[in-house]
Amino acid sequence: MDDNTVATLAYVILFAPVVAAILITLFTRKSKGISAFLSVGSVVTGGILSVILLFDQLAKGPGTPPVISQFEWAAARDSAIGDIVLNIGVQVDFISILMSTIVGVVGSCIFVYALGYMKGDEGWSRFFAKFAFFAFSMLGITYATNFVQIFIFWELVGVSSYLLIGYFYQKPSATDAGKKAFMTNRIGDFGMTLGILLLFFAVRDVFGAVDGFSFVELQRIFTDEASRTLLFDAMGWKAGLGAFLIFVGAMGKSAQFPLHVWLPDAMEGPTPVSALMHAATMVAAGVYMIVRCYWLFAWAESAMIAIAWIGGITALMAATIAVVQNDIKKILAYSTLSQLGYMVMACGMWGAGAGMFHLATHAFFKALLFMGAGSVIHACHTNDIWEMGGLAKKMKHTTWTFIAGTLALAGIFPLAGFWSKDEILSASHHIAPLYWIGVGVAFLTAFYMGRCVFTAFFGKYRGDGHPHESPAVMWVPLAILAIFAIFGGWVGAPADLNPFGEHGLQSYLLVAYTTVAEGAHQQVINWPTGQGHMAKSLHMNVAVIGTLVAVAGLFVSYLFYGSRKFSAEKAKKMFGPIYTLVSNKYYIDEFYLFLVKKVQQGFANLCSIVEQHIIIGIFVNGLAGGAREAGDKFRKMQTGRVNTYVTMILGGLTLLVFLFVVGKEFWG
Amino acid sequence: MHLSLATLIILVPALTTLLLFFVPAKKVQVVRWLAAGGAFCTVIISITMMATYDKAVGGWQFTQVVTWVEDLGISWNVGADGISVAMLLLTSLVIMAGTLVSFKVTDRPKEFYILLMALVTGVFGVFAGRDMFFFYFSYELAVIPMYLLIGVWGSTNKEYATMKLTLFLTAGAVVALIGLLLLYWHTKEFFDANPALLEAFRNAHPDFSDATSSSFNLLQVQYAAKHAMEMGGPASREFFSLGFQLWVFPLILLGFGAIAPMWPLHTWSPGGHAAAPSAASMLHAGVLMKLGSYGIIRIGLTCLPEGAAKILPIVAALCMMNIIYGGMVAMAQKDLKFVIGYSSSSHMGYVLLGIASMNVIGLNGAVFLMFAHGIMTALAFGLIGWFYDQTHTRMLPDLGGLAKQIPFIGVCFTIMALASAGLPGFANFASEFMVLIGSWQEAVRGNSWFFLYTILAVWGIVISATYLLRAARWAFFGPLNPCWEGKIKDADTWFWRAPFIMLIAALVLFGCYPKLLIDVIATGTGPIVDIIENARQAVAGIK
Amino acid sequence: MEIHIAHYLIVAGILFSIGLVGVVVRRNAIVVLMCLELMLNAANLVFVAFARMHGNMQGRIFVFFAITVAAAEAAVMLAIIIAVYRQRETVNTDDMDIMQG
Repeated sequence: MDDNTVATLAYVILFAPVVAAILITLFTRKSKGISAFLSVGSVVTGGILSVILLFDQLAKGPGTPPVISQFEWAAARDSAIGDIVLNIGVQVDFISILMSTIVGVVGSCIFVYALGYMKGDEGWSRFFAKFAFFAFSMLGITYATNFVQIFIFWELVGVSSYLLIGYFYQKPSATDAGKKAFMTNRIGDFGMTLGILLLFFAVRDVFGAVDGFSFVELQRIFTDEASRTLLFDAMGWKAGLGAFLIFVGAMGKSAQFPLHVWLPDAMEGPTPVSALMHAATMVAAGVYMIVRCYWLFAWAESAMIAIAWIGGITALMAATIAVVQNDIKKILAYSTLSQLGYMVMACGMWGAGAGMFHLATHAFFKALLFMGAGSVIHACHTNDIWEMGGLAKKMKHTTWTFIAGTLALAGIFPLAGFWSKDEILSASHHIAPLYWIGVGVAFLTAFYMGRCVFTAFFGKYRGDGHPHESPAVMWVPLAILAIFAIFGGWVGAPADLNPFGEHGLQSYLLVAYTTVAEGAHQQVINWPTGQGHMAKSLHMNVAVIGTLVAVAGLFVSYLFYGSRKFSAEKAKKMFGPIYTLVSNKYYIDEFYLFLVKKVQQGFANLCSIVEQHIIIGIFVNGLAGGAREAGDKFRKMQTGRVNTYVTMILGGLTLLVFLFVVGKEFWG
Repeated sequence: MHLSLATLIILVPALTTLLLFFVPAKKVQVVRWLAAGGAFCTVIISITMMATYDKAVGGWQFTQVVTWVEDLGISWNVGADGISVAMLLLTSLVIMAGTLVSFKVTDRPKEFYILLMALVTGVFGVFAGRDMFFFYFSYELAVIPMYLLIGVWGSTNKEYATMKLTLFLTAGAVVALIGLLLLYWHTKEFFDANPALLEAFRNAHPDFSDATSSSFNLLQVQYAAKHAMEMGGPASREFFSLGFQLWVFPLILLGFGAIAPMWPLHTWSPGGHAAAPSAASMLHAGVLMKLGSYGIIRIGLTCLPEGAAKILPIVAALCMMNIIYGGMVAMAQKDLKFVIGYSSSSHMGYVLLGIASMNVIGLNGAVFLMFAHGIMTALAFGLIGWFYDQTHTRMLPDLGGLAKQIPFIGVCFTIMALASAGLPGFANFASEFMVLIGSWQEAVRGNSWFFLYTILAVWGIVISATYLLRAARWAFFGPLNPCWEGKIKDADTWFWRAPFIMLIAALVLFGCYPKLLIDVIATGTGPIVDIIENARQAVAGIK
Repeated sequence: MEIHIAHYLIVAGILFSIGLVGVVVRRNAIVVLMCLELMLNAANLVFVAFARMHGNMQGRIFVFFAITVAAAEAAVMLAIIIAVYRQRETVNTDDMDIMQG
C-alpha cells in the first residue's frame, strides 16, 4: 500500500468511532438497533482495517519508516522564537498499528459482548455512544504524531472513563468512582503538561525553531548521539526531570503507585467498560506512551531507575492486595494493576519490547478474564467469589475460557502470558531486587488467580440463585479471546521457538522503537544497556524459575482452596497485622481521603474564610462602612439651623481673609 | 449613507432598544421576539464579519468615522480588528442565548429587554470602538443597565450585590478615565510640539484627514506613542517617557483590572453573578468581565507598552491569586452560582497570565480564552437559571440527582463542567494550553518566576476540575432528592434547548478546530506583540 | 476734630459686627432679620463713605439699589416668617431645623 492509502486507512480507523458516537447522540438515541450497529460496526471496521494495516506492515518488513499525515490545529506565528504549531494527525508505524490492532480486535470482542451484557439497560444508546467515544480517544493516543495530540487524547480517555465509570449516575459510589478516576488522572496530566512544556522549550532553546512536540523530530534529536549530548548538556538534571514528568502522565493512566487508587474503584462501571479499560484502552495508554517515546526515556537513566522501581512497587503491592480480595472484579482489577507494574518495570529496565509484548498478550487474556467475570456476575448476580462455587458444571464455556485466561495470566507454558512474562523477567535480570520482585509477583499472580478459580468455579455452589450459561453473543467473544490467550504468545517467542523464526514480533518491535527513519536510511540504535536484539533462545534459568513459581503458586492455592488441606483462616491469623494492612490496601485510600477531605478542603475553607471575612469583610465592606460612617459623622454638620450656617460662613470668611493676608506674607 | 458592519452591530441593538419603547407592555410576545430578532441580527452580522474579515490584510476593517465633537476630537470611530471580531462574535452569541432564555421572564418583560438591549449596545460599542471617549461612554452604557437588571430582577441579597457591583465598576471606570484623559492631554501636547507628525498622521490615514492635535482617537494616540518612543531613550525622551508610562499604565490596569476582575478587586463578581437574573449573569460573566481584559490589551498594551513591560510581570503574581485562591474559594462554596462565580475569577486569572506573558502564543491564548470562557460561563449561568427558576435554591446540598429529572440540562451541565475544567475538544482547553505555553516561554526568556506561575497555573486546572466535578456530582448525580420528584421540568422543546445547543456548538466547533478563530485573533495580536517587544528591548536594562 | 474716612469705616465695622453677632447668637427670627439689615446698612455706609471720598456717584447709586433690594427682601422675609409662625407657632430659629442632616 502506498503512504496515502495507509494514512487514509488510519484516519478511517481513528474517526469511525467518533462519527458513530456523534451520530448516535444526535440522531439514533431512540432506535437501539441502529445505535448498537453504528457503535459496534465502527470498532469492528477499525479492527479489520488495523489487521489489514498490520499485514501490510509485516509484508513491508521491519523498520519501515513511519507514515505521517497531519494538519495544523492551532498555531502562533512568533518571529522571535519561531512558530509554535500544534498539529493533529496520524503517525502510522509498527507500534501504532500493533496498538491499534489490539484496540480494534480486543475492542471488537468486548463491543460484541456488550451487546449481550447491556441487554435491557435503559441507557443503551448512551452507553454505546460513550463506548465508541472511548475507543476513539484511545485510538487518538495510538496514532498521535506529537505530544500535544497525545495529551489531547490522553485527556479525552480520562473523560471517557469518567463518563463510563459513572455510567450508573444515580449510584453515588459509581459517580464518585468516576470522579476519582478523572481527578487522579488529572494529577498525572499535571506532571505530563509540565514535562511536555519543559521538553519543548529545552529543544527550542538548543536547536532553534524545531517542532519540539513532534515525535519524529524529537526521536531524531534524541537518537542522534551528537544532538542528544548537546541537549542533555544544556538541560542538565532537567532532562531526567522532564522524562519523569512525562512519565507521571503515564502513572496516572496506567495506574502506577501512588496514582493507582482510581483503578480498583473503576470497577463501578459496567463490566464491558472494565474489560475495555483494563485490557485495550486507558491503562494500556501509559505503557504505550512509554514505548512510543522510548527514545526520550532510554537515556534519562535516573528517570528510568525511578520508572523501574515504581513499576516494581506497583506490581508487588497490587499482587499482595489481590490475594485478599473477595470481589471477583476487584481481584482482576488488582491483578491488572500488578501486571501494569510489571510492564512499566520492564520498560524501566530498557525492556520496552518486553513491556509492549506483555501489554499485547495481557490485553487479550485480561479482557477475557473480565468478560468471563462479567458472565459469572451476570449469572450469579453477585461479585463475591464466596457466594459462587461449582460454576464449572453450570457454565461450561465460561469456565474453560476463564481457566485459559487464568493459566495465561499465571504464565504457564506455552500460553501467551508465559512468553511475555519470560521476556520481562529476562529484561529485569540485571537488577537483582527487581528481578526477585518480578519472581515473587509471578508466584502471587498464580496464587490469587488459583484462589479465584478454585473458589468460584469448583466445589459446591454457595449462592442462592440459579446460575446458567450466558448467551452466545457473550461467550463467543470469550472463546475468540481464549484462542488468542492460548496461542497468541508464540508470535513473540524467541527466534528458535518462534513459528516465524527470525521474523517474530520482537524483531519488528525492536526495530520500530530503535530506529530513526531518515529517508531510506535505517539506523539501529544501541540502547544504553544492550537489549538491542531479539533473543535467540529462551533464557533457560529464567524460564524454568518463572514456570516453577507459577506452578507452585497454583499448587499452593489448590492446597488452600481446592483440596482445603490448609486452612485459609489459620493463615490469616498467622499473618495478623500484615493481613490487616494488606486487606486495607495499605491505607493509601485513607491517606488520600485525608489529603482531600481534610487538607485540601481545609485549605479551601480557610481561603473562603479569608475571602468572606478579610477581603470582603474588612477591605470591601470596611471601605463601604467607612464611607457610611464618615457620612454619618459629617451629616451632623447640617444642623438645619441658620445660626450654625452663618457661623460657618463667618469662620470660612475669616479663614480666607487670614490666608489672603497672612498667606501673602508667606508665599509672596 | 453607507454603514459599515461595525456601525451596524452597534446600531441594531440600539434600534431594538428604541423600538421596544414603542411596543405596548402587554404585548409580551412581540417584545420577546423583537429582542430575539435584534439579537439574531447581531449574530448574523458578527458571523459575517468573522467570515469576511480579510486575514491576509489584517488590521482594522469594517471601519467608519463620523465626527461628533470636533473641538474635543471625539468621533463615531468604529471598526474591528482580529481581537474585536472574536469579541463581537462572543457578545452576539451570548446575547442571542440570553434573550432566548429570558423568554421565561414574566415580571416586566418589556423593561427587562430594554435594559438588556441597552446593555449589549454598550458592550458592542466597547468592542467595536476606536475612540477612547466612545469606549468609555459605551462602557458606562453597559454598566448602568446592569445595576437595574440586578436590582429589580435579581435574587439573593440583590441590593447589596448590585450596589457593590456598580460601585466597583464605576470606580474602576473612573480610574481608567483618569488614565485615558492623561493620555489624551499628553497626545495633544505631543502633537502641538510636533506638528509635522500630525500632518504625517493625517496623510497616512485618509479617514482622519481633518484630525487636530486634540483627539480621543485611539489610533492617533498609538501613533503618537509610537513616534514619541522613537525619539529617544525611555528615560530621556520628552513624551511618553518611561516615567509617564509607569504612572499612567497602573491607572489603566487598575481601572480595567477591577472589571477583569483582578485579585483582590474581584469580590463584586461572584456576588453579582449570584444575584443577577440568568440573562444578566450570562452577559455579565460572559462578556462584561472581558471588557476589562480587552481594555488592558487594547489601550494599555498599545499606548503604554513600556509601562506594561515593567508592570505586567508583577501582575502575573496577582494572577496566581486569581487562579489558585479563586479556585480554592470556589471549592468551599455551597451555592452553585458562587462556585461558577469564583471559577470565573479563577479563569480570568489565566487570561491575565496570558497577557502578562507578553508573547504571541500567550496573548493569542488569552484572547481565545476570553472567547471560550465567555461562552462557557454564559452556558453555565443559563443552565443554573433554568432549574433555579423551579427549585428556588442553588445550594448544592439541597439539590442532588437532578440528572434523572432533567436529563438534557444535566448533560449540558456536565459538558459545561468538563469544558470549564479544560477538556480537549472544547475551546477552553486549546486556549488554556496556549496560555500555559506562553507563560513557560516567558519563563524561558528569563523571568524565572514564570516557571512557578506556570506550575501553579497547571495545578489550577486540577483545582478547577475538582470543584466543577464536585458541583456536577452534588447537583446532578447520585440519587434524586425526593423533594424534586416530578417538580422540575426539563428543557423539553427545541426552542428551550436552542440557546444551550448553540453555545455548546460554538465551544465544540472552536475547540475541535481552534485554527478557525486563532488565525483571526492572531491578526489582531500580532502588531500588539511587536509593539510590546520593541518596548521590552528599550527598557530591558532599566530597573 | 475732623471726621476722617477711618471714622466712617470704624462705625460701619461696629455696625456690621453688631449685626453679625446678632445673627449668630439671637434666636428670634425677627431680631435676626433686623441684624441682617444692620449689616446691610453697614455696607451701605462704607459705600457712601468711599463715594464721598472719591467724589463719584457710583457708590451712592449702589446704595440706592441696595436699599431697594433690602426693602423687597425684608418684605419677602417677613412674609416667610409669618408663614412659618402660622405653621409652627414660633419664630425661634432653633425650632426651624427640619433640614437637619
